[in-house]
Amino acid sequence: MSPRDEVWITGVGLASPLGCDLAQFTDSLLQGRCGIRRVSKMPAAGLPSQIAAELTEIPRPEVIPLEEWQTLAPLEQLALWCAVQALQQADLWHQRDRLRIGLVCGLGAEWPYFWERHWFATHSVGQKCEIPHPQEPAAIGKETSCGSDIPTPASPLASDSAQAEVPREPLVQRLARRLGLRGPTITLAAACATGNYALGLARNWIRTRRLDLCLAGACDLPVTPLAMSCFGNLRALSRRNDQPQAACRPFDRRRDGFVMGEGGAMFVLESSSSARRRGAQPLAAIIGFGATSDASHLVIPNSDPAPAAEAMRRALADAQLAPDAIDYLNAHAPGTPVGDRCETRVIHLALGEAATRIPVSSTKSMTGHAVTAASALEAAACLGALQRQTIPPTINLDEPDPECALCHVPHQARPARLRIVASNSFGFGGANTTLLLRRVA
Amino acid sequence: MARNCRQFPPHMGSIEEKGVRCRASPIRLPHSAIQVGILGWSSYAFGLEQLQQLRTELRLPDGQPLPHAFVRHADEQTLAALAVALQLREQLPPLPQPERWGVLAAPEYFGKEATLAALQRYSLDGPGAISPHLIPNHCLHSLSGSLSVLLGLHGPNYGVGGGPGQLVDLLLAGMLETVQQPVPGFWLVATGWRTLPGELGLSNATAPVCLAMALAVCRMSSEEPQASTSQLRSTEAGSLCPGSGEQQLANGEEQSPGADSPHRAREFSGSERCPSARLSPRAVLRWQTWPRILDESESPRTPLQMETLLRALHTPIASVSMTAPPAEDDSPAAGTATRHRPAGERHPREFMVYRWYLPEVGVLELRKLHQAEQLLSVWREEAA
Repeated sequence: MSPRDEVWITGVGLASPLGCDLAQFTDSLLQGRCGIRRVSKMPAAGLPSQIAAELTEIPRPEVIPLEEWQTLAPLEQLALWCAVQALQQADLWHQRDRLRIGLVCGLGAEWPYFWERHWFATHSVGQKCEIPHPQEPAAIGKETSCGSDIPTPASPLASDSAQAEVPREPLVQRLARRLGLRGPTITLAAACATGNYALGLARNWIRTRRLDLCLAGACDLPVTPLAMSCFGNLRALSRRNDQPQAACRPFDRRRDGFVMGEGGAMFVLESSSSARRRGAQPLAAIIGFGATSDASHLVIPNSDPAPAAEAMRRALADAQLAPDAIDYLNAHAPGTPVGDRCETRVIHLALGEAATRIPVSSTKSMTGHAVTAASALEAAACLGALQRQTIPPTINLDEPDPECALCHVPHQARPARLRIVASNSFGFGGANTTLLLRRVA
Repeated sequence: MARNCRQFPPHMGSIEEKGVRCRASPIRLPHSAIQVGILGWSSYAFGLEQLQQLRTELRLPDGQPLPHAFVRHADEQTLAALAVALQLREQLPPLPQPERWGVLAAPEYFGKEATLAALQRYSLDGPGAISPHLIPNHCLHSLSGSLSVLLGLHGPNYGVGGGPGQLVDLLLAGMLETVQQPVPGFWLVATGWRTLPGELGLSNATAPVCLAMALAVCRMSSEEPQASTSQLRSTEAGSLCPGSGEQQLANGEEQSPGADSPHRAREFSGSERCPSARLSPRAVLRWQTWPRILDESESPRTPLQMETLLRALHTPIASVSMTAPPAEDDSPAAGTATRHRPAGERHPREFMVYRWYLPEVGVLELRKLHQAEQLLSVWREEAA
């Protein structure tokens, strides 16, 4: 990669309640469709929030045999679908064993997902077991086998215990082997900012010439009893259970929390010279990435907007751009009272006067908040916006909160000349990230 | 702190004693490498009782006790990581812009006990019994987030790995971020549960311990130009330059492909300067990729776990037999650990080289410099 090369995205694979490829997903967003429904894949009684944008079906790639597919946990199916689709779209599927392709996969709760899945496949509700200390972590099935011979009630996560084994190898390694990838793999997690970090790290990897290409993205299926209970008890989730489609209301005065979402997106990253050499069609260039930490609280956004604004400034500095270069900002804006207000202050501090002119929307109003996968899906939303030259709206934004005064795009998509788009993602642990994408003509 | 901690590794010895040997690779490595300087390291193996003590005895750098909410909800691996990070912080000389450092953390099976306990509560008492602190404190991102909050680190923070083999993820991500991110350096932290034989081998019982290690890494003045806006101006060989690439941008030394944009920034803050203070690395970590894709059969895999890296870091240079200086671009003739004394130097600077061969990654190489001995002796006194 020469110093003048850029890092391009040449393939994308995704699955979300609004579609399982970029075209479908973009269509849904631009039409203002909402993927939020009442929770259907687990019993929701007693949960504070009983609505979510669930991913109820994950398509099987044709190249994966049905027998093999059926042995996989949904999280692994999701990652596999996204990765295969991204490689196929980039026209790399048949060349993948001849290239050094790395894999950076954002998985915020990989092991808890498998532990929870195994638990509900092997334990009865109301059953008490002794919990050993975790010095033999992968042997969870053996450690908690007290319920293995007791009839299991309908499990919210796995249909039978054989499918719910806790793997002994990280998902990324299994995924790389199944795909026949020959490069290194990394799992990372930065809560809601995971996808942006994955793309930032993969971009660094390409720039340092350690890889020919890199698959990067994030996947999450957080509609589980533990996650729904935990976030619900944290009072972070909307309780508008009787109005699922109107529940997620970023920047609106009547917002009462985010709505859990599910999905994933993986991207093929390569240097522009590599893409040109093989005649690949670029979807966008990653031109800037900035990351900082609040260092103030694990959950509550910092009331001081400076650290998060610094992440936006670093992304702009990385891209050598001034704020008014941004044509559209996909905000993190989950729809929580505190989060949206804090982000508004961040945007104003980072962009200055340009903040009053740059169109801002939150696609979480339609996709829900896919937690670890949120920023990967939002990067895909930005690709769709660049392709269609149209800004996706914030639905349910009936009455903008005066403390969230921005250049909103409410209710309906807006055609615009888009060249550079930004995506903010802020997460638990005080993680702040901004990604900048540019259209490649 | 020392009385709370079990010395790790328990036996100081060379890598060969532990049977971690590797044949020389037949593949010639390219000259280019990513490398970072390791300013210091710290590690301990904490028993269960010691972890409980840490909740009440640990003090933050300003002398304050840990925040009550943190003590109540923190995972044991977080406590162990915090303890070694604080220990390392005490040992290091003042760092440049410490609040701008980032932190990457690689726990192993993080939050398992808390997750299982929560599942039990859910089964017995339903959703209302689940603590809202479960996900914020017991997911992969939580350890790095906690360190960022408690140590006041405003650089990037995220978790890596999370399962077996997490150390390779940590080192790769740590090296990439260190050379590319506009921050002075990174804290790299790894933790995991282990079982150790009973005290002095008198008992057959095994005791669970939480092993934790912390490295402070910093960008080296690199021989290899990075195709990046975060590239640094070269400095004298062997010194560390914990600054940022933004200064370069301000000086207009590097043009991006989008340089023709009408929206190019008009000015930069210039706040990120390469400080005048030079820090000496105690070890250097290098990553060289294979010149082509390898099969497993072409290069044997050398296990790289926390124990192996710590053993390499803590092994005194004097305990390893001397060999001839290696060719820079070739593998050692035999063994993973070799000791070198460059010929013709009036005051020879000895160093040891450890290499780990990973077919899909390349070669990770640790060069421990003579200065490392100083830290080692400090560490021994602390542990005694």
